[in-house]
Amino acid sequence: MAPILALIAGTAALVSFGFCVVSIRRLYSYIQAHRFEESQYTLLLGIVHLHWIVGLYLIVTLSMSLALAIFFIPDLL
Amino acid sequence: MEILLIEELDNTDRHFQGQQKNEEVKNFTRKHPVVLLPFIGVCLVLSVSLILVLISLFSAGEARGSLLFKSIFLIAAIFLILLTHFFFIRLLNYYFEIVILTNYRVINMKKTIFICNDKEIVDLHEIQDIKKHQAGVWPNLLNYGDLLVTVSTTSASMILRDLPHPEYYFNQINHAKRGYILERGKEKRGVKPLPRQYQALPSPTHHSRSDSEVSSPQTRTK
Repeated sequence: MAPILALIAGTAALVSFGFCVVSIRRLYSYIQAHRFEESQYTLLLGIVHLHWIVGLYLIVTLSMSLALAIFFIPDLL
Repeated sequence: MEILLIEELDNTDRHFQGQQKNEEVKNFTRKHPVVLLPFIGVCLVLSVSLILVLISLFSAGEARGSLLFKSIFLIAAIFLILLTHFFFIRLLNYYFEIVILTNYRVINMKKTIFICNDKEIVDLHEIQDIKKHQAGVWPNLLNYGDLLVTVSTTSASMILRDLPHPEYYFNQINHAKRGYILERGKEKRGVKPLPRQYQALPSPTHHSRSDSEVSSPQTRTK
């Protein structure tokens, strides 16, 4: 049963990271089609750039996927 | 050189897909950040609960090796990952919902990364009436509200919800509409006005406007 859980965890980590990458790719294709000059009136709370959120999203997703994989990998070995 | 002066700037697809050749973006805006507050609150409560569950599972000691522990841990971790994606996707979707005001029309784009891709357009000459709705303590305190753009045809009105600085956009749409009507009147009388970028042209070297001029309320005059 433990290897099955490990497989589920690994798949979840991969799917999670893949979903994040697909989302960011779609976002950037949208940004390329809509080239607006951002200002303090258009940014979230006047300061939060979209690229910051994208970077944070990537880091959080990657670290959670890695943590999940690392926790369950010993069951596969 | 004369040809350069007479030739107009081609704005086709410059700032957004479907932008016309002579169409200039006057303003664009997103919704007020207050629309994110309920969602951030729910996500915060759920994520803190899940993290507490995970921490309590980790501090279980000897039970850490059991299958039940691992199953519960996996379920909680997957829920946390789902919640993280939900949180960030909603944040990214905030940047997708844009209201654009050009010298020809008002465009309300309702887009999300995966699900929705709607676009609502009202030409400035179709606008019959604009109403500003800003009722309640929070809308007046945080300065956000709705604009109801009524069109002359029988089709439904355009509602621009939760706009920041609604008074400013209310005035901007009115101003753009008046400008458009004036321009059309001149065209009907046979006076073809020069594009705005050439009207106060000091020298041929300054024939293009910078992008920063075509942006949002940063160019507004008080």
